[in-house]
Formats: sequence, C-alpha cells, structure tokens
Amino acid sequence: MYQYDEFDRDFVQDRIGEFTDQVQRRLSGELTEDQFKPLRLMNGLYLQLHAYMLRVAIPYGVLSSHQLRALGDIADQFDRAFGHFTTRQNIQFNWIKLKDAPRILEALAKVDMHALQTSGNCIRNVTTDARAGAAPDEVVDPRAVAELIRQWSSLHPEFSYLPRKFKIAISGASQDRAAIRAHDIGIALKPKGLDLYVGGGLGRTPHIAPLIKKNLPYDELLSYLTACLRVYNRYGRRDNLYKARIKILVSSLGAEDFAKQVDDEYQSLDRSRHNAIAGELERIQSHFIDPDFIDGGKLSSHKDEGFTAFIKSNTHAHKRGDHLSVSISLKNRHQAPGDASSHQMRAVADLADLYAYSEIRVSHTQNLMLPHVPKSALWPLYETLKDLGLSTSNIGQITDIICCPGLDYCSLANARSIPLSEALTELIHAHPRFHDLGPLSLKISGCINACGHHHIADIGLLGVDKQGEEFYQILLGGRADEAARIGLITGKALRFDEIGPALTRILDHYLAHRQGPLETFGAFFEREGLTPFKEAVHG
Amino acid sequence: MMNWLTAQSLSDGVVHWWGDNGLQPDCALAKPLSHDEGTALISLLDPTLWVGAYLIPLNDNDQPIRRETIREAIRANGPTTGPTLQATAKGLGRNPQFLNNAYAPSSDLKA
Repeated sequence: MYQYDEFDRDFVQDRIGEFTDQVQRRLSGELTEDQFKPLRLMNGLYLQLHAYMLRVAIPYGVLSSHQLRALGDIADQFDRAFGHFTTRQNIQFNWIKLKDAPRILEALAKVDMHALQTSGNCIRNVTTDARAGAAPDEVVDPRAVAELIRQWSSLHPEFSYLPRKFKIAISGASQDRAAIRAHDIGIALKPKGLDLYVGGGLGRTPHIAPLIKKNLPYDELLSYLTACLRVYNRYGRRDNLYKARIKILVSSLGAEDFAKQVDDEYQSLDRSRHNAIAGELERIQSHFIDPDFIDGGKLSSHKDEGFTAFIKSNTHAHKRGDHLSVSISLKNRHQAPGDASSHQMRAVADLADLYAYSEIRVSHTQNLMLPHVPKSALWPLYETLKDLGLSTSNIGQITDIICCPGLDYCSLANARSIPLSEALTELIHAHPRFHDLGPLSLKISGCINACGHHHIADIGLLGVDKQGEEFYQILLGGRADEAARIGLITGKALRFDEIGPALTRILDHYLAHRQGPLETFGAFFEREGLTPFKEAVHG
Repeated sequence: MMNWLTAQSLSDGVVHWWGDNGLQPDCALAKPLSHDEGTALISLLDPTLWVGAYLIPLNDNDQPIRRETIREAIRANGPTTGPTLQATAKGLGRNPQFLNNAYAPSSDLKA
C-alpha cells in the first residue's frame, strides 16, 4: 500500500499545526463560530446532535493492520469504544470533544492518516473497489490512480471552494463494485485509457452520470479533471444550495454541451503544467505491489454448516487461485450497520497480521474485507471471527443493510435509520422463507442527502419527517453496478410500523412470481416493473 | 408560545438547557421562556463557551412541539439504540424524558 514519504508527513503535520492553532483561537474567542466552522469542516469535524463528530479519511478504503489498530485506540481514548464505517469508506467517531481534536489528528498522523477533505465543498475521499488488486476480473488496479487524485486534490488551491462537495469513484474491473455512475465523476479504467462519467449523484435530485469522455490517455487525466472542475467552478449554481452539485449543471446543459465545454477548456490548457509529472503514476504504482504471496494451499474440508454458509456468502474469487478475498460483515444482529467496536477493530487487525498480509479494506457497503487470504487459512480465520461475533454470512443479501447514522446521531436527519435496520433484520430472521432470497440490496437513508445510497438499491428506504413523525418512502429497482439506475418511488411514505408489513408483501410477491430461485430480485423487477409492487405495497 | 433554550458546550459539544441556574446538561430541569426572553439570553451567551444556541418551541404542556419532539428527545436522552443507548439520560442518572411522545428505544419499535 502507499507509504508516506517525508513530504507527505510534513504536509499532514503542517495542517495539524494549523488546525491546532485554529482550535486554540476558537476556544479563546479570537475566532467566531462563523469563522471557525469552515475551518473545522475542512478537517472533518462536525457539530452533531450529541457532540462533535470526526470523520477520518481512509483513502480508497485501504488500511494497514497498524492503522486499524490505531483507529481502535482512538475509539477507546477519545470516543466511546466504537466507530462507524461509512459509504465513503471513511470512519466516523461520534463523541468527540473539540479540545481533543488536535491530539486525535496527531494520533492519526503517527500512522499516516488524517481527516483532511472529509467535509466541505472540496474533492472528498476518492473511493474504489474494495477488492482492488485482488479481484480476477480486474483489468487495471485502481489504487494508484486513486492515490494520484488524492495527492493532486489535497488542498488544491483552485478546487478547495467548489460550489458544493465533490465525489470521485474509480473502478478498474469488468464489474463496477464502486458505484461509479452515482458519483460526481466516475472513472472506469481500461488498459489503454479511461472513460469518464460526469454528473452523477444521489441526494435531493438523483442522477446517473452520463459518459463524457472515452479513452482518455492516463497521462492526461489530471488535465481533464482540471478542465472538468473549472467548468463546474465557473457555472455551478453557487446561488442555490440545492442546485449546486455538478449533476444539476450537466443535466441543465445536457451531457453533450457539457462535454464540449470541458473539451474546449481542456484544449486551451497548457497540459504540460497540469498533468502529473512524468513517471509520477509509475512511482505511485510501485507502492501497490502484491504482497509476497505464500502457497495458499486448499480450503479446509471441515463439514460445518456455518463455515459452508460463510464460504458461499463472504468469500470472493482472488486473482490467485490459492487465495480468496474475505468479507467481514459489519451487519450483525444487535450492532448498527457499519459499526465496529474498538475490540473488534484490534482483533481484525490481529487477524490481518496472522492470515492476510496485514491488509484490510473498508467497502462502500460498510463492511471490512481481508483482500488476500490463503485458502488454507480460511477455517482458522472463520473460527476466530465466530468467536468475535463477526462471522455473519450475509454479504450481498437482504440483511447486509447499508444504513446511515440517521437521527440517532446526525443533525441533518429527518428520521432514524439504525432502529429501522434492526427491526427489519429481526423480521427477516423471523421468517425462514426470507432466508435464501439470493442477492438483494436493502439501503436506508435518514434524509434526502442519501448517505445510505437508498436510490441505488433493490429496495431503498428514505426517512422523511411529517409533522414530527418519522415516515419512510419505499423505492424499488435501483442498481449501483455498471447498469446503474435510480430506484422508483412506490407511493406515499409509510409509518415506521408499516414498513415491516410492506417489506413482507414485497418479498412475498417476488417469491411467489419469480421464475425460479436464479431470477434475482433485480432481474424480476426489470421484467415485472413497478406496478405490481405498488399494488403489493399500497393495495 | 413558550420555548426552551438549548446550546452545546463549545469545548466538548455536550448539549445543555437553560434552567434556573443558567445552562446545565439536564433537560429535565429546563425552564420555559418567552421568545423575547430566550432571544435576549442567546445574545448574552459567551461565544467562547457555547455554540449552536437556539429556541425549542413548546406546546401547551411545556413539551417540545410535535415537529421537534423526536430530535429533541434524542438530544436530551441519547441515541435510541447501540452501545450508547440513552447515554445522556444514563449519564445524568435519570429516566429518559418525553417517553409519552414519539421517542422510543429501538427495542420497543416494531417494523
């Protein structure tokens, strides 16, 4: 994985020094809250319902074991012994004190981590496939390009005050596991060039990004991104918060006109000044070499029902036939989706050291992953995960619920997400007919900002407030992959206690009418459309 | 309409409520204020100690109006689920407030 050099360390230390001074000046009254707020947000620090929340960047979801251990220690020392992994592959600590923030940033810097650009109207943490560097269908490893963009965009003077936040995702595999078309810019890597999708996004006005540029040479990437962001900076709606994202600009201009404007800007740039210096991508790529793979051996032949289910659900093919990638579900009963205790973080770090070349990934589906596990290590790994309460076998299934923190923590939320995810998980467990539905995504957002990605789920739930009561809108038929699409609203929002019965009717309709167990919910919806589901939900 | 005044401590973000002895962390001791009283008090708060002050409108029974109920109940009592379930109420050694309204812990909710 990428190793900081002296420049990177000095860069982060300078920022910590600057922010420490800003905190001191705020506490002493030299800075007003209006002056301080944008500064703390640039360092990932929010004021939430109960305390400050610190969002720590996990660039493209890659963690070393000592970094994960450090996150566990921070959870113990400065929070309440847990953290929450997000759909941007970051981690959030919910009970932070402002006066402690500089010390936390120091602790992060010791393991080459920071919280820069995890908030504010800048380029946020670049996300990618959690299986990067391991998946057999990968054509280009996206981590080096993600790291190049991270370095280029960090405190970029021209793009630190964009009209709104800006999110980039990258995929380098034939299957899109990074939801790239739901991002402001999605980049699909191919052996000889990149395809850029621009103007996607969820939130208030969801859009799937159209293709803007095909086969861009790798060494032109930063110039083209510069041109894109310049057009956005110039024409993005700074006058209207709700229309300020690039998706609105692309949609209002039309993809073709937007692409032409970007191309004009791109042609007028002195690209030699804006592209990465020669050899920089190769230098970064040299950090992402494979570990010294051992002979991975074979899978244990243990006849254990739980182990069999774990293999089927939580393991993924690896580019080496004698290894696997292993998902560790953070969607366990009685634990909020994406949450991990400090004990669990340290234990997973230990497991990564023992069995997985000390590397961990955070997926945008709020799970952890060990990307490289020798097949022969799977049984002892599974046994330890079971002891830790982390062997839940539900990856990609209906109980692998993506869920934002919702109104239990977030000051923007309209409704609670976590209790709904817990109640629906219990409902699924209580009905054996729902135990083998095949791949089916269920995603919950507590407000229109859509941190829970509810638009791109087979079944999406959106929390809305109606005169102080929590209601939830149901969307169906969304997809996050290479055939991404926005889910369709079934009808009026329902009360908390009406969602379970509605979900039951949706699933029963699917089970009763699908063409055998191989027809997935997504394929079924494609064939049947919304109307029969509307009738099932709303009568 | 009467109101409660709430603000968060600048240094640690802990939620406070205006009571007989000024801002204190227990909503059970919150004191209803007129809009003018509340607005005047907000303007007097020391900005080196407090952040995010606002007024919560109350109904005739001196409880937050319906629109504000869930959010304010969660602020007053802590999350309704997870390892910090009702952490604020527990930290203050009292029962959760507004249980007769919409706030309910996760275990009491059924979907």
